Amino acid sequence: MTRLRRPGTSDGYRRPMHASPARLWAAVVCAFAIVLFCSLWVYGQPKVPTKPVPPRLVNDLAGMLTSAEAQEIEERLLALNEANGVQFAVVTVPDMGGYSIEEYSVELFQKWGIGEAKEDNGLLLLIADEEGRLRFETGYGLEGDLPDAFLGRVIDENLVPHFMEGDPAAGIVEAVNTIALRLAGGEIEPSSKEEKSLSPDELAAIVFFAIVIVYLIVKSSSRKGPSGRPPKSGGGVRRPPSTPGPFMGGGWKGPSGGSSRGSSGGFGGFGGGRSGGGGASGGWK
Amino acid sequence: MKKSGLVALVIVLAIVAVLGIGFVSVSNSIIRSEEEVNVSWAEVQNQFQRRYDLIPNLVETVKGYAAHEEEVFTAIADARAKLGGAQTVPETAEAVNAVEGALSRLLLVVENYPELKADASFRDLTYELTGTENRIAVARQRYNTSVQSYNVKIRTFPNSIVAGMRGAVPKDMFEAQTGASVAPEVKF
Repeated sequence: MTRLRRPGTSDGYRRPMHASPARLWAAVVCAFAIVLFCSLWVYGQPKVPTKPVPPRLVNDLAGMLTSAEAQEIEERLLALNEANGVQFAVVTVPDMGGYSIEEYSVELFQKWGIGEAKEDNGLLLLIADEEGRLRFETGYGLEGDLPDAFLGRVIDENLVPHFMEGDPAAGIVEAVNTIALRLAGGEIEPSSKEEKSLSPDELAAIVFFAIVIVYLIVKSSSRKGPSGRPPKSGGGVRRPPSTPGPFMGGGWKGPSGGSSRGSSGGFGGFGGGRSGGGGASGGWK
Repeated sequence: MKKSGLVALVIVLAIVAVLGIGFVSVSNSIIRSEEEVNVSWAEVQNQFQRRYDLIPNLVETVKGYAAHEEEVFTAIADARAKLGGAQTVPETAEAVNAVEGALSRLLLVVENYPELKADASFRDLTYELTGTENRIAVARQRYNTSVQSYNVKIRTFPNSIVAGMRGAVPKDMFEAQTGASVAPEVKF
C-alpha cells in the first residue's frame, strides 16, 4: 500500500482536505457567490430581454409581425428618429413572467436605455402577447409632448381595435403615424446634429487628459536618478479616484450621443435615456 | 541617525496623506449619495404635486354626474389638505396613504355611474391619474433604493467613522401602507 507524500506534511500522511488554505478560500468565495446570487434574486426585478445587437427599433420577440411588416414599421421609426432624434422602440414579448406591464416596461426601458442620455427622448411601446396587454412608456423628456391622456387615446383608438381584429401591424402603424404627427406639430427641439461645439464638460475632460499625457511624456523623457517611482510623500500627485469621475461621466457621454446619430440608413443604438413611469396601458384580451 | 529620522518623518507624512485622501474621498462619496437621495425625494414630491393638482379636476368631473356623494368628496378634500401640510417623510407617507384611500373610494363610487365612465374627459383624467400613480410608484422605488444605498454606505466600516465625523444619520425609507401598494384601478 503506497502512502501519498503530500508536500508540507511532516510525516508523509495525507492530511484531511479541509485544512488547506486554498480550499478554505474557495469555500468562502462559493458561499459569497451564493449569498450574492440569493440577494439579487430576492430583489425581484423582472427578467427582460437583452438589448438587440445590432441595434434595432422594432423587436418582435413574440413573432406577432411578418418580417415585411416589421421592416415597414422600422423604416417609419427610423424616419422619426432622423427627423427629431426621438428613439421610439416597439417591442413584443411572448409573456412577462407574472410581472405587471408597468414594472416590466420600466425595467426594460431602463435596461436598454431608450432615448438619448441628455434629452431622455425615448418612447417604448411594449406588447405582451399572452397577457394581451400593451403599454406606452415615455422618457422624461417626452412627457410634455406625449401626455398620458393622449397615449391612452392612441391605445383606445389606434391599437386596441386592430389588435382585437388580429392585425397588430396595422394598429402599430397607425399609432406610429399618430404619434409622429403629434411630435411634428409640437415644439420638439431639432436634434443637436449640427452642433459641433464642445460642452464645457467635454472641454475640461480633453484639457485634463492633455495635461496628463504631456506630464507622462515629460516624465518618461527626463530619466534622472531613480526611475519611475514617485516618492511616497508625493502621493498628492495622484488624484483620489473619485475626482475624475464627474469629468469623465459628463465628458464622454456627449460625444457618444452625437456620433450615434451620425450613421444614416441605420439605427445607431440606444443612448441611455431614462423614463419616470409615465405613459399609458391598455389591453385587448 | 538623521537619515532614519528623516525616513520616519516621511513615513508619518505619507500615512497622514493617505488618511487625508481617504477621508476626503469617503466624505465626497457620502455627499454624492446624499445628493442622490435628495434628488430622488424631490422627484417623489414632484409626482405627489402632480397628483395633488389632478385631483380637483377629477372631483369636479365626478360631481357632474354624482353630485350627492358628499362623504367621498369630503374625504378627498381632507386628505388633500393633510398632504399639503406634511413636512417630514413619515408625515408625507401617512398623508399620501390617506389620499390614496380616499381616491380608491371615489373610484369605487364611479363604478356605479356608467355615463360617467363613458365621458371623454373622465377617460382622459383616468389615464392621467393612472399615469401619475405609476410615476409615484417608480419615484418611490428609486427614492427607497437611493436611501438604502446611502444608509448602507454610512453604516458600514470604515465609512461609518467619516459619517460619524460629518454627523450623517440614516434616512427614512418611504414605507407603503399594507394593502395600499396597489394603485386605485379603474376597469372599463
